Amino acid sequence: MPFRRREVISAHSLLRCAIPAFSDCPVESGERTMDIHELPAEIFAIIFDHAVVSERQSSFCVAFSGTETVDTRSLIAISHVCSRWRDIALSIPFLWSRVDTTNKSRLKTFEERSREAPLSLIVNAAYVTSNSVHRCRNLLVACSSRLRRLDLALGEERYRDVDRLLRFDAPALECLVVSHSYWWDDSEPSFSDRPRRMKRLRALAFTPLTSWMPQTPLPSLTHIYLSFQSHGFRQPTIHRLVSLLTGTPALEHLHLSRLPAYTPSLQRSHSVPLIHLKSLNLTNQSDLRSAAALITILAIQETVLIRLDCHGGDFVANPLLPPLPYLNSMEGPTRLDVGSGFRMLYLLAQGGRAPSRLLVRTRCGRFYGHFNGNGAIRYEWEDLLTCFATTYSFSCVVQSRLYIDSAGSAAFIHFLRHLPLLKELELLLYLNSDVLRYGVAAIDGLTRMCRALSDESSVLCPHLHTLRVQIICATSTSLAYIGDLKRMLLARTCMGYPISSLAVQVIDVASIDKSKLEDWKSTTVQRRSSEDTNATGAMTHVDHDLSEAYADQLASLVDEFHFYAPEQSPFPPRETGEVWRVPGAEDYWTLPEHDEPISTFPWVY
Amino acid sequence: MGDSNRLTLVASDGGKFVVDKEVVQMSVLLKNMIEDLGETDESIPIPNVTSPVLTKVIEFCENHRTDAARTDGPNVDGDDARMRTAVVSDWDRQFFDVDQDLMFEIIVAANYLDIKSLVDVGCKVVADMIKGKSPQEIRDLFDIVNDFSPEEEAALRKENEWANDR
Repeated sequence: MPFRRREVISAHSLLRCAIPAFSDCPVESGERTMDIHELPAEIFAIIFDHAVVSERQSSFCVAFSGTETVDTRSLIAISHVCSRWRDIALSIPFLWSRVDTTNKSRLKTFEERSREAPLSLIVNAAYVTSNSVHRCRNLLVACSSRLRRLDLALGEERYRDVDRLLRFDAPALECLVVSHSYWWDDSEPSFSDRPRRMKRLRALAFTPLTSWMPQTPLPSLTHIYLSFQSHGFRQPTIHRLVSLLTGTPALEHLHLSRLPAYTPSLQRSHSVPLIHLKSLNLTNQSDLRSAAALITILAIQETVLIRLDCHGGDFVANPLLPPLPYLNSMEGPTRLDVGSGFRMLYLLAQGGRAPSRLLVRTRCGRFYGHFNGNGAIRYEWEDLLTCFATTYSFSCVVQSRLYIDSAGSAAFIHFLRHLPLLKELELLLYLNSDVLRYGVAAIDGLTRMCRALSDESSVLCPHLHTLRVQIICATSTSLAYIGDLKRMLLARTCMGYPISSLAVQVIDVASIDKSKLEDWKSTTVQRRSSEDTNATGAMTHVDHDLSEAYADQLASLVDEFHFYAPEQSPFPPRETGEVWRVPGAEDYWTLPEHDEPISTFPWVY
Repeated sequence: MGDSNRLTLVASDGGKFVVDKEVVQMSVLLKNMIEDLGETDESIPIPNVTSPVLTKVIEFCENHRTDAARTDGPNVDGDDARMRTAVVSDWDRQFFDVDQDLMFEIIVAANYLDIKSLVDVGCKVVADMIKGKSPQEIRDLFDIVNDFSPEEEAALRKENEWANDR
């Protein structure tokens, strides 16, 4: 809705002409004060606009259930306060330009009061169900010339009439959202690219759909949100999707939700140039291979933010992955963060040019893990991590942060072998419920990592000069970790690959509420400082003995040593949900919860 | 000659304020005046704004001086997006934690000086005060007299019948 301010300003101008008595009140100097009566009408217009805007925005969720209504309570209240407020409110058509079909009297009143202003109309599923197709279509046709936004919800009975309902010219239409709650069988409605003349269409959302999507070029389109139904997805649909994207050269924000698995048959010759694209999201358990295959054919700028919140499938049986931007480019990512948690693998790659970045959050396999030949449990994400390491090029990575638990350290050690130019490494050894349940110290992961970094036979990360370690442990054996670090530092110095800078933070969470860590999706726990002894949450060590013990043993082995107290935050989250909220991406709608960016990566302490 | 980067504003009650030119250029009115005047030591009178109000306006501009570059220029779409998405910050909310009289005076002064961001924030704060309230609650809040005639009241009651149909 980039038109709203223009309209308000325009309304102010009209207002001044139409209601001379409400023009600017002179402000006198001296001691007298001002009350709300003396505000000029143009200020009231802005206040009223702000008062109703959040209510208007609240109706713009793309997950349109069909029962949404336009909240007009504030607008009605404003117009009922006094005659001046009412006159001002009624003189601003734009305030009345968004309405739903819940109440016929309200619909009629709003249509009148909005005059010739562009109209945003929510057609509820109940209206479509209780009225004939002819009547529904007449409603749309009657306002089609000034219809700027249409949110059309269709019940099961009416979805097959979508083509008839949308059979009108919509020269002013900027946003079209069509949603339904019907789960498809094999048949689908015909859809012949209605409405016609949608040359100004800037935002298009269908949720959910199968193979149904417009095929005519939409040259002004900047926003697409398509939500799929996996079981109704057919092979030709991907080609229709490609065809749609080919006709949208101005596209800035593309969001595909629940993109199903299909047999990738796209050729790179299909290349779709989307040079204006700013954000690319495939979420809600979209199929990773399908997502990657689609991305492969998109010709996009290096600055596009790419978020893949996908399901990984079986990487044991099929370890091949399609190429992905940044991970395949010659320059490659320079920063790479990887984390794991049970079935989840998180990978965040920062491209060569800011703000380019790629986040892959993948759920792997059907089970938590399986036992390998040695009887050790192997998590599904380990296979995917290996796939990433062997498929993509990480040869330019100089900074990396790894979120490691004791179980997955072997896979991460293998992964490090693919980062030959790594200079700065952050190891965050976090807890999971296994650690607490079985009493395994998180140090196990650090022990293995230190041994790998000390291995003389195959030097790991020869350019590594900075190591920063956060140890979150569930035992009171904090001092035991010093030995591993000390041996590693000595070994690397002897090998001629010394680490010059070391930072350590030890956080003892032995007294933590363990039930919180049983949530295998994500866990955030509160730390507490030594001064805050009455607070609930994790018990922390800040005693000088621990700090001095580490410093005594390790400081002399490096040029720079730092020991962080538990309450400090030397490892701020690099990836937060806000990073992925690209300005403008949600201009036309807010995302449903399952499509929103995650806020943790993967565990936050 | 004084400091060429600073100038003096004179409030309607005679109060003088020496401020950075960069700060006051958030005001389109003052920015144009400075450009028209060129290098000068002359004070700029602000006849419609009292000292307490001008103090607050300058405080706002000082705090938001780095925003000026971002909001400069006639980018209507960008400005629109800012209006639509920006939430009133804690600082701004604290800034407007004043008597209603002063709040409205600040908004009017900002409108006169053409400081868009201050007008927007002020209007949002007032809008937030209005949201969710009934007409009577709004009247009580701002001391507004219900001046509708009985006939108009009847029409409003009819409106209420469908207004609450959700």
